[in-house]
Amino acid sequence: MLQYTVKRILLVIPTFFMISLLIFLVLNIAPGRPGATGGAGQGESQNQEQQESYRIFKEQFNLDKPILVNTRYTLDADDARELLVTAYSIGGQASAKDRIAASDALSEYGAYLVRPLVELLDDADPAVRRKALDALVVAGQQPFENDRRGDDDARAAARDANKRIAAENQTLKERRLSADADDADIEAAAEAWKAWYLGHEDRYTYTLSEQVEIFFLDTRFAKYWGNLLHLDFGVSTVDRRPVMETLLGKLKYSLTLSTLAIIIAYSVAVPIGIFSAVRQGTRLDAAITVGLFVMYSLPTFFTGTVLLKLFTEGDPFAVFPTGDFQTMTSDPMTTWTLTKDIAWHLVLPIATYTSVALAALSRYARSGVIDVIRADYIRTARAKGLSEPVVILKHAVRNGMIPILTLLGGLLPSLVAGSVVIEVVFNIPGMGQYLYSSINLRDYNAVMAVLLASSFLALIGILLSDLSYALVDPRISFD
Amino acid sequence: MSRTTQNLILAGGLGVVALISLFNAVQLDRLEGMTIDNGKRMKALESQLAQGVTVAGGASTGGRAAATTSACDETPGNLLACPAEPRITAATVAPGQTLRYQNAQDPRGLNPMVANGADVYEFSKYTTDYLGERRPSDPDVWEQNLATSITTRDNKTFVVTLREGVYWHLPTVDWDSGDYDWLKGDGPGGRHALVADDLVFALDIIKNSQTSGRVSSLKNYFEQMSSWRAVDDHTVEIVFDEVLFTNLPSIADLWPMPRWLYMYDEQGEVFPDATWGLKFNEHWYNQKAIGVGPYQFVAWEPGVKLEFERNPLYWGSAIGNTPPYDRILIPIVKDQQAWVRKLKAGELDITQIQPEQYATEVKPKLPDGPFLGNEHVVATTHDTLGYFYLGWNADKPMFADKKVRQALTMALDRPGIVDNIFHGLGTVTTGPFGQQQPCYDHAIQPWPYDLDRARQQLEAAGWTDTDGDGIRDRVIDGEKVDFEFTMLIYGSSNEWETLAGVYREDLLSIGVKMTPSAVEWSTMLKKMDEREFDVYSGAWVLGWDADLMQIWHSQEADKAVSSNRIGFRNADADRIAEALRRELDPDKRLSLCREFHALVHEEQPYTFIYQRERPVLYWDHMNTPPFQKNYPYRDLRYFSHREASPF
Repeated sequence: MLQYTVKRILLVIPTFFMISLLIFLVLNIAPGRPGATGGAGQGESQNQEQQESYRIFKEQFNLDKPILVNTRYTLDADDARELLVTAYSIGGQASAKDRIAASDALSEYGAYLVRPLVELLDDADPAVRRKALDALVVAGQQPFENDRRGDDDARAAARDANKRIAAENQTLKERRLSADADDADIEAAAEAWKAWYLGHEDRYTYTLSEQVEIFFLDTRFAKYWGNLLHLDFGVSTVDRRPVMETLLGKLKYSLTLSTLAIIIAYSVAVPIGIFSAVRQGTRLDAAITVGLFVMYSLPTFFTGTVLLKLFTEGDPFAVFPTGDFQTMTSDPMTTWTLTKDIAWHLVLPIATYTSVALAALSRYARSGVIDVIRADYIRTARAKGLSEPVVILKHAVRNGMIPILTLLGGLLPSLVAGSVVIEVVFNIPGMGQYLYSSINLRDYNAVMAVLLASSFLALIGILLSDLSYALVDPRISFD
Repeated sequence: MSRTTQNLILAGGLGVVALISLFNAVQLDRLEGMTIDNGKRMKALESQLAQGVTVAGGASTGGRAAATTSACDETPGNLLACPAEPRITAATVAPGQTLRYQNAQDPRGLNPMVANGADVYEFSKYTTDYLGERRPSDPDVWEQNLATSITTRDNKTFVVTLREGVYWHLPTVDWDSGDYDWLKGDGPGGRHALVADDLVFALDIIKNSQTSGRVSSLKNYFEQMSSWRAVDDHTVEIVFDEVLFTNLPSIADLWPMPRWLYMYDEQGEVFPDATWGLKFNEHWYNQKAIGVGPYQFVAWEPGVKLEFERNPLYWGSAIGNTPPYDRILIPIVKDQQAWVRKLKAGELDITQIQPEQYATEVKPKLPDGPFLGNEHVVATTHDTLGYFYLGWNADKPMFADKKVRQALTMALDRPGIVDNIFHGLGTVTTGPFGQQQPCYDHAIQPWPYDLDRARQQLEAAGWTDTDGDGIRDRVIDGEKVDFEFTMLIYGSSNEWETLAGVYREDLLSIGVKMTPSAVEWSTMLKKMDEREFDVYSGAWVLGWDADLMQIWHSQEADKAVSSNRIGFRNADADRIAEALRRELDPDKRLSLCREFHALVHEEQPYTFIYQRERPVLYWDHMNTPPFQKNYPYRDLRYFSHREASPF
């Protein structure tokens, strides 16, 4: 058993890694881009961010890096020349699409372009030389180091490094030539850049081991995992707050809702299941089955909306509030009033949640009991004269509930991840709602964090339910 | 003792314990309630006390302070006019009320220099006062607000005089912990007085190269600013290198920022000079709001609500602009269908209604209602400043000829679409300005919906059906091309899908094949950035001052993150857009933008569709809400309750 447990736990690690890789790929390959504001439905305002701040935004979130492998160290003067020629339509008119793609590449390749661009300073075409100078100003900018991680010394060191970087970036920015610079200015600037490059040559030439490192590690995925190992889930591209902080804030809503819902679903479903197992084949059993399947087949958004319509709008009833987790009031409430208030708000969402979960759970309970009800020991129990309720509750149900108990493990992730649909319909600000809006806004870090948290819990849940099989049922052994 | 007796005693004991616990719980609940009541009373007392202090303070400095806060500065040369009327003009205003109005999502932060988004800007109107205020009846006029005067001698050097006797809100922090004592100022209750340096700091933020976010769009307007300094405690001198029309509006639409807050980390340590801009972008107070405005920030619970309360020391009270509400409560309700439900249940005072709900719930009952089955619910609409359009990719040879673009516009049944798809909520529009703006030339008639004329125009442009497949074709660059294209539309809206369906049929009847492609917004944005489209459906929200550079100037045509996505390049348009940046004379500006309107109408780089009206429902315990001509149309500072809310 111990051996099995250890083996299973060790298996969790590579599985988790593969899951994260998969989610990461799907997310980054999916069409769309983060950083979108507004929406076409409402109209956009003209105050778009500038080119430069969009570049910094991409750099900050590693969106300027390739997704899985990085071969940018192989860039040479020819590649850079082609980019410049396309981006600035030197000696011909490139289509807007190509020009934009090329200037995107120019801004994203960063440091890898410095060496090729310096080589281009000797190019035969003066237009290329001129644009290479402009591109160098952008490519030479160094990203800042993370000064919020590690102990005080590490942070202080990072802060000092950032000061140096800021100063160096500033001096490079000042090299930007004005639009009316003449040939002598250009010549002087080129010489200055070449001199500067000689002073920093090792920063921009890569040894084999550095190349291998870049190939694997200077990528979005590697950077993400690097942060993950520090338990750093990153910052949201939407509100620039640490994702984990937001998640923990959402946890209380989802956890309350789903824990209560699961408890209630179980306590309703199990008796129904037992009842229909005992009355197996009767009309009542058939009626219950049909009823449950109808409830199961209605999608939650429909059930939720119908419940809201019926019970909140005053036609016919206005008993419950129209969604939310608690009353929107600024007045503080006592613990008891608050509890009542939350409970009142959660009636409809829990009813919606239960209406779907009920069918599956009671089916499991029913078949569990049916499986054992024909067993020899039940016949024995009846034969020794025990009353029917005792036979069912004490002997049949106890054994029949094993499968349904182990189902609990599988519910672990849903405790945390919540339910997207119910939270959206009832305006409960939990993880589900957060996931939904983060996907719409392509907030990669937020989506990754929610999905990773729930897949981690799913792995743990599966492990626990497998182990609990052995614990609950002595006939099962993994050794 | 028998077993039964034992059990009885045990049960009895447990019962007693349960009773005692219940009693304790009830007592505890009462105690908690009393503590909360006491807390409320203390708070009320504190705010009364604070008000008393300013009254006393005002008296001690004598008549001068009173004069500067109440009288209007009518010195000749003051670019700011006197306010025409107080913000609230209603006859009766119920005291002690809370205004409840939803927001569709969490704002992206509450620091208006950092966080992007229309809602952030709107909230900043309540917490932060801007230097000038556009006159609601005529937004071209700037009225005095936080600045009592702005003067200039050459339209380059501007002198801003700030109002005296204005105090910042107290930051919303846990004062009791003692960790924030470094934030305290010398004013009443530990507040800081507003001084010239606060405005200088706002300009420092704009000119810092590391700051990003919303401020990057401000940077455009202050690019030509070469110097900014405090002359004395309430006067700031701002110097631009060039005479640009945008100079005055940029200053008047600016607001002060407190250096004593944003230059420090949460422990009160000042940021290093080399990186303070970066620190500012992620400042610990960016999830809260501070200002000198009528309402001060109370709380923001992500996904739940935002809350503001009346600023007890609001300077505007002295000139008749006392904030009418005790509190403003903004629940965050993401499901837009739920807004009406919440209004109906009395959880909101005023809300927008979605067009499809408008069509079923409101439109049939116009004009008198009752709406939502309740005679106290009032329905109205307000204008928006902007327009919906189709943008033709100018780099596609297919759309190069303006005759073709005109034909494509004439094939779109705009009046029918506004009436039937958009439920009559809007009017067909013809140009790049809002119809309530002087720039909009009402003499220009929309291109007619005329399929015959569209066919003739296409013939004239060389598009004929040579192979008899029903689709027109033409030889471009030696290759026969069918007139086929894809229309990128916003996929989360049924209306646009219906519109695309109608348009497709009409186009087919004139021999053009269009395929709609509905995608959601972030995908659409990426495709537009990369110019991966033939035509897309879009909407612009406009600012009041016509600035045509971003959308129409050719220098924006080849940038990835640009507003000129269609790649419009036109020498005349460039000339007008540049001239408008420099021209200060109102009459000449008007003729320039009218000229531009005519040009764009003729060229049809966009097919202009309509300008939208937004339907609104509110309870009649509110005074008729005066909506503004430009964003934010709902400016809660102008709202008030007629009588106490029954909910």
